[in-house]
Amino acid sequence: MEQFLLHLPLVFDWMNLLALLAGTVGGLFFGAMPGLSPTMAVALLVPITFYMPPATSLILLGAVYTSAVAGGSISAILLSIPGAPASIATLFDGHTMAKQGRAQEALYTTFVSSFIGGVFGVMVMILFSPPMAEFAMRFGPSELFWTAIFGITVITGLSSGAVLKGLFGGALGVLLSTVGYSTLTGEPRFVVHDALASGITMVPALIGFFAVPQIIDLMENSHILLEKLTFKPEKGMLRKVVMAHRKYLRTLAMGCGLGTLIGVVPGAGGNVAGIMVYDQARKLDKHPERFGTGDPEGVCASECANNATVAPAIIPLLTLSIPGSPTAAVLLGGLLIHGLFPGPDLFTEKAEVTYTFIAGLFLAQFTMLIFGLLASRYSHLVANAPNYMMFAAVMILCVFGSYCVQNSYEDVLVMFTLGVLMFVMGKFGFPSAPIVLGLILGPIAEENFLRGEMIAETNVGVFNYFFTGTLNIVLIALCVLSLAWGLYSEVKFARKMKAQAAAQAGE
Amino acid sequence: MYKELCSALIMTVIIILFAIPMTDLSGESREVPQLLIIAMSVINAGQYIQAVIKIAGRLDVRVTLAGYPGLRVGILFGLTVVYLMALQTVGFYISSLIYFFVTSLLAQPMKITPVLAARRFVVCLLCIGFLYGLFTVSLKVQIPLSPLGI
Repeated sequence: MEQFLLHLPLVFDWMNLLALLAGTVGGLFFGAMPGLSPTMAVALLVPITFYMPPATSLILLGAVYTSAVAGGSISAILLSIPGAPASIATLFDGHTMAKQGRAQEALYTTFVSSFIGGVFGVMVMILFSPPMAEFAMRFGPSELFWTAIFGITVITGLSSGAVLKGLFGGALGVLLSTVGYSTLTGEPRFVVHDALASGITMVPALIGFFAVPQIIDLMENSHILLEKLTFKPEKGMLRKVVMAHRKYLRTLAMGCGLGTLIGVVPGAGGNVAGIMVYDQARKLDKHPERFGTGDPEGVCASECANNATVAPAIIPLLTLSIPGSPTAAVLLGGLLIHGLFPGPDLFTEKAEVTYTFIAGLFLAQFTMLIFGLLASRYSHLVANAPNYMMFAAVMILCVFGSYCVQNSYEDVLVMFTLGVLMFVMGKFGFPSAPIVLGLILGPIAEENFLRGEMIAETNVGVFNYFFTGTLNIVLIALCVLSLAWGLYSEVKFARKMKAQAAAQAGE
Repeated sequence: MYKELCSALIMTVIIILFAIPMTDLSGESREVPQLLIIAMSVINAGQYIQAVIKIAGRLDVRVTLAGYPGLRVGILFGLTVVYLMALQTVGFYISSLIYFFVTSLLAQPMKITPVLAARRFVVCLLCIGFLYGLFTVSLKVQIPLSPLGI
């Protein structure tokens, strides 16, 4: 906390402040546009931050992340299209409210709840990141290897109905990370073209995996003109919404608590938190039937939870290099291009950058609230942006983002090729997040596996080194549990589908 | 074609594409890719079993292109490929302007009139001009430029 307070004034440096404001506005803009996710927004901005000081760039990315998650609710409420996966649960009540002429109330509820969840998440980050980073110092190669494997298995466990594809994607991501000259042996691997000699550059790959499939989807729907929305602001609404939040204390507590917990778990994210808290809030309510009929408490549950995941998702990223969400995975690219490597060093040697970033993320909650409330009046203009303009605009940003990381045209081609392949795979149900996580965690897993093997061969043997010791056993148990959970969910999902098919056949 | 079966076939193709060049690798360089290929093969086998079970239980869905706007996506995708190919020769800003203008006109459902085209061109020009001002003038970002220096 002391370090946080010490570095808080640094955010008010004009460049950092500008990045904070630009990130907030940009994040709200990206979030509000249907089809543009927070992950994509951060992925597109990572290369641009290459030209900025590390703290400024991280403040920008953090502000975009937090605002895009909140901004995703704008299109969910106004258009019934979640601007971000985290806003799925918001549309249950939010869009109903909009149809009842209460769009302003829904939007204000969104930003106030997001602010509460976001601030809570950052406080948890401030309190728990340093001890967790200290704890991570106990990790040797075997523990780091298992941690990386846990990161990959846990995200696949959440790919409901596609666990095998998720696992395959995770392994494929790790395999893709081995492309290029091996850092340990210097031998070229899978270098089928000169462009791949230095491996697959992370940022173009991230842009390709997350943005290109969405662009092709936008091409598919480019001719669709959504109904134009209008918005009539009402006086005294903010006061009414703030007062109403006093009645939602239980829901807010649940949103903050569960959201934070889900945020820390690698792979889970705002979408899981939003739906889970919404569901719990409904189940625990005396009148669950009011949820889904345009109740602001439903919006509050979803939005508080999804924004509470943002900062906690960055905790395992900063301490163990395991991203808590796909967007946090992309944020890792932002750290790496500035030569910042996750781990205890970030909280000691690079404390200035790290704590300025955390302070920036804290202030981003305030700017998100202020700009969100102001933007609510004009949000329908962004939500009305037509698809026929969007896909080309995003494609241009993708090209720019991929090119300027290394000034390489080949990176643009790699981005596009991977994106097209992901689009095809996506049509068959392969999720992109496990591939990206595999690509990010692959080098950590391989390096520590080979290092551990070398240590083990001269010391206690491979089995004893990798499979004994409390931390190793705990991590292995977590990997097994996440796999078992994934398989259980798969069976449950299959049964549900079977029952639905049987019901349809009966009809 | 059944979706789950197609997925299993895609997995097989990916495994083969990596397994063939892997045979050229030696020692430590090969260790991790080999373990991954084995793991992926096991998952692939699981996917085949799942596909068979789903087909037998009539739970698998058929993948079809019926109703897919193939022509529209094909044209826009083709233009995107042309844009990427022209990027280095024509320069980022000029090629982006042409791409933005042409694709947005072709993709829209409204009838193209001279007034609409002129308006659209101005919008595209303003957007690309903003990018030029931000990236090239302010941030001095290196990006392929045309022989005209734009």
